[in-house]
Amino acid sequence: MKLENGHVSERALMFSVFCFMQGTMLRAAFIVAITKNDSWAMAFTGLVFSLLLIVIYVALFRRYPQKNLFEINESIFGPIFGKLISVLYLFFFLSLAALNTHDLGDFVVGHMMPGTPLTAVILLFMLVCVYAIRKGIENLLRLSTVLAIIGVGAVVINSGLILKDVQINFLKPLFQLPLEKYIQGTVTITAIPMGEIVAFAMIVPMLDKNKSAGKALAKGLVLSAIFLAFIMLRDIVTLGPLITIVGLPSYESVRYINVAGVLTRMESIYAIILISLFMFKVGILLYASVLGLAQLLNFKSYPPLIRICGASIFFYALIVFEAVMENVDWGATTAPFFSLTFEFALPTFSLVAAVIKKAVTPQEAEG
Amino acid sequence: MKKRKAKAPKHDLIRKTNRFPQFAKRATSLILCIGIILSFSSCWSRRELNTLAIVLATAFDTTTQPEMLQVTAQVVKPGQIKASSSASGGEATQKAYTNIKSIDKSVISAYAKITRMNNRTMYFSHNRIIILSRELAEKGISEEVDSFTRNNETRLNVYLLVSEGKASDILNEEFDLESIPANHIAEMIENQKINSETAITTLRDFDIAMLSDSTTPLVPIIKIYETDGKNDAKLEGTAVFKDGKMIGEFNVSQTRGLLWVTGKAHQGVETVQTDWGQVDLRFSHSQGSFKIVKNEDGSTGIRIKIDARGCIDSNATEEDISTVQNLEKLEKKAEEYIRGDVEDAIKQAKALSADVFGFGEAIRRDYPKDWEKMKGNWDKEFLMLEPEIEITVSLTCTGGIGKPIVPGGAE
Amino acid sequence: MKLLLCFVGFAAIAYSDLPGLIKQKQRREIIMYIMVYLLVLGFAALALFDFKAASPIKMIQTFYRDFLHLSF
Repeated sequence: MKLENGHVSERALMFSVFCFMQGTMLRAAFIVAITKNDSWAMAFTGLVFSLLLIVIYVALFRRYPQKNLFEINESIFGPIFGKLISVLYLFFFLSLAALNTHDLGDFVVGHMMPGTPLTAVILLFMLVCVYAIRKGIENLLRLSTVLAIIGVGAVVINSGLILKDVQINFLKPLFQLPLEKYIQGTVTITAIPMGEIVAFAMIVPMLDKNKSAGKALAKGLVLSAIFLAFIMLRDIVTLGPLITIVGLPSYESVRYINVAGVLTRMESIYAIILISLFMFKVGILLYASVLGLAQLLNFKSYPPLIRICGASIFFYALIVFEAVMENVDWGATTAPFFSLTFEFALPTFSLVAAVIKKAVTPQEAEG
Repeated sequence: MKKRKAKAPKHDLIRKTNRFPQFAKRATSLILCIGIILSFSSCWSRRELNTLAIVLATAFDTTTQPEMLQVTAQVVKPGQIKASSSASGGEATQKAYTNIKSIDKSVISAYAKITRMNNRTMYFSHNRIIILSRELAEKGISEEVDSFTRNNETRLNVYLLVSEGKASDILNEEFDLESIPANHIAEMIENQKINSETAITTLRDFDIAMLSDSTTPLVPIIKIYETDGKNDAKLEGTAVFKDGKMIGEFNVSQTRGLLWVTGKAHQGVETVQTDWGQVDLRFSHSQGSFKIVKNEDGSTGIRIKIDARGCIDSNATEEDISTVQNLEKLEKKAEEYIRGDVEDAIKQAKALSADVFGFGEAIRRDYPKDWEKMKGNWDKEFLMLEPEIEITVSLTCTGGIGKPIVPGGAE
Repeated sequence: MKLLLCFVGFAAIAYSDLPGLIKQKQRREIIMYIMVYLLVLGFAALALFDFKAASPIKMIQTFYRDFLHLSF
C-alpha cells in the first residue's frame, strides 16, 4: 500500500532542505522589520529552536519508520481521529503553497512586469510545478543539488560585487533592542523559514532504511542558517537604516551594484534564482498536499490528484490576499503562530500521544 | 541495473510498432516548446524599445507659481549619438538628446503630464543624475526624494546635484567631450575621487542620512561659468540639507576638510606656500577617520585622525626639497594646511548647526545609551563639541627627479 | 472570457485524469476524485466571481488574533 516508491539520497535531502529555505530567505523583509540591524543573529537563535523541532520529528520518525506524516497520524490516533488531524495538516500545506505562490506572483508583478495580471503569472507557475511533480518527486529532489549551488553562487557573486559600497558601521549598535524584539524575531524565524521542513515529513520515507533523516535535515538547516545570516549581513551593510523601509532588501541591494559601469542590473539574475527556488518550494509543498490527499482518500496511487491539487492551489493563491499590506501584516503578526501550531504543537501532541500509546499497550509490536 | 533492463524492451517496441505515436509525441512537445518560449518572453508586459523614452537625467526647478514644479527630463535619441560625435568639427548637427519639460504640482503628476505631450513613456532605469535647483532645495525636496526611492524603475545609485540657478540650464549645456550632457556630468562626478574636493552623494546615501536623527545630507553644487563666451559646468562646493531643506553650503576648501574628516579623501592635490616658494603635493592612499572617545569626566569627545601620504608633484622653488630637513618642513606646512581645512569645515558646520560629519551617528553606534541622553538636544551638544585633530603627513617620494632644475642643480 | 478559460482548464484536467482511472476500474477512486473535483470547482467559482470574503487566510487571521489573542 505504499504510495511512493522513489528513493532519495541523504545528500539530496540535505540540499532539498537548503533550497526549500533559500527562496524564503531572499524575501526576508518580514524578519528585518522586527530586529533591524541585528537580524543576522536571529538566524542562529532560530536555528537552535529549529533543531529542537527536528528532535521532535526524528523521534516520530524513529517510532514509525518508513511512514510519512499522514500515515503516522493514522497509526497514533486511529483511523478516524488520525484522518481529522491529517486534514488539518493538509490544509496547512495547501495554505503554505498558496501563500508562497502568491508571494512569487506579487514579486513578479510588482517589480518585474507591472502590467501583467497576477492570474497569468500564477497560472504559468503552477503549470510548471504540476509538470515537475508529475514527472516524479525524485527528479525534483535530485535537481536540488544543482539549484542550491547555483543559488549560493549567485548570491556570493552578487555580494562580492557590492563589497565596494558597503559600510560596516551599519551593523552597530549591536544588540541594543529590547529583549521582546529578539524573542519575536527568533520565533518568527523558527516558524516561517525553518519550521516549514515539516513538509519534508512526507518525503523522509523515501530515504533508505539505514540512513538517518535527522542528520540530513539538521545539516540542511545549519547550512540555511549560515546562508541566511550571510544574506542579512550583506543587506544590512549595504542598505543600513533603509533596510527597514524598502520592501525587498536583497533586491534593492543587488540593484545597487555598479562595477565600472559594466556590471550593472544584476537584479535579473536575482529574479531568475528567486523564481527557480520558489518553484522548488511550491513543488515540494504541492507534492506533500497531493500525497496527503491520496493518503486521506485511500487512493492506490497519487498521480491523478496532482492536477486537481494544482488547480486548487492556483485558485487559493488568487484569493489569499487582496493587498500587499495585508501580506506584511499577516507575516509580522499571525503567521508565526499559525505555522507554529502545525510545526510544533501538533507534532509534539502526536509524539506525546505515541509515547502514551506505547506505554499503555506494551504488548503490541511497534509500528 | 534495473534501469538498463527496463530500457531494452522499449527499443524493440519502437522498431516494431508504427511511427505515428512517436511523431505525435514529438510534434506535441515541439508545439509546447514554442508555446512556452512565446509566453515566457513576457508578451504581456512587453515594452518595445521604440515606445520608450530613455531618461538619462532629470532636473527639478521652481516656477513662478509657488506650488508648481518644473520637471525636465533628458531623453536620449539613440540614433543620433554616432552622428553628433563624429561631426564635432563644426557643422550644426542634430543633438543626441532632447530635453522634455513639464510643469505640474508634483513629480509624478508632471511625468504623467508628459505622456500627454509625447509618443513615448518615460523609462527611468537609466537615469544617472538628479539635479535640483537651489531655490527648490531651499524650499524642500522630500517629495522628490520619496518618489524616486519608492518608484520601482529608478535606482538608488543615481547621483544628486544642486545647481546654482536653473537646473534645466545645466541639461542644456553642450559639452565637447560627450554628446549627451547627462553622461558628461555623471562621469564628471565619478571622476571626482581623484581630487577629493567634492562630496559624492547617491540617492542611497541621501536617504540614509535623511533617516538618521542627527546627520545632515550633503549634495554637491554644480555651477555654470563662462570662459571665452562658452558655457561650462563645474562642481564647486557642497550644499547642506536639514529636514529636506537646504540650509547652507560649504566652499571647496571646507568640503576638502569635510572629506578628510569623514575619511572620503583618498587622493588629492595641495598647493603649499613655503618660505622659498610654492610646492605642490599630491596625496594618494590617504585615510581619515574619527572615533568617539570618552573623556575622564564622562562626556564624549571626538578624536579625528588623518593620515596623509603623498608625493611632491612639482617644485616651483629653487630649493632642493628632497633633503630630509626640507621634507620635514614641507610635511609640517602640509599639516597646517590640512588642519586649516578641517577646522574651517568644523567651524562652518557649527555655524550652520549641521552635523555633516556623522558624529551623532557614531555616538549612537558606539555608545547607544549616551546617545539616548544626547538625542534630545543634539544641536546644542554638537556646538559644544571640540574635536581633537591628529594629522600625520608623510611625504614618501619626490616623483621622477630629486633636485630642482636650476642652474647649479646638477652638482 | 475568464469563465471560458476556466471551463476549458477544468475540462482538460478531467480529460487527462479520468480515462486513466476509468480504465483501471477503480470505482472508489473515481467517486472520490469526482468529489474533490467538484469541491475545487466550487472553490474556483468563488474565486472567479470575486467572492473575496471567503479567503481562508483571513479567517485564520481573525481566529488567531481575536479568538485566541495569539499575535504580536
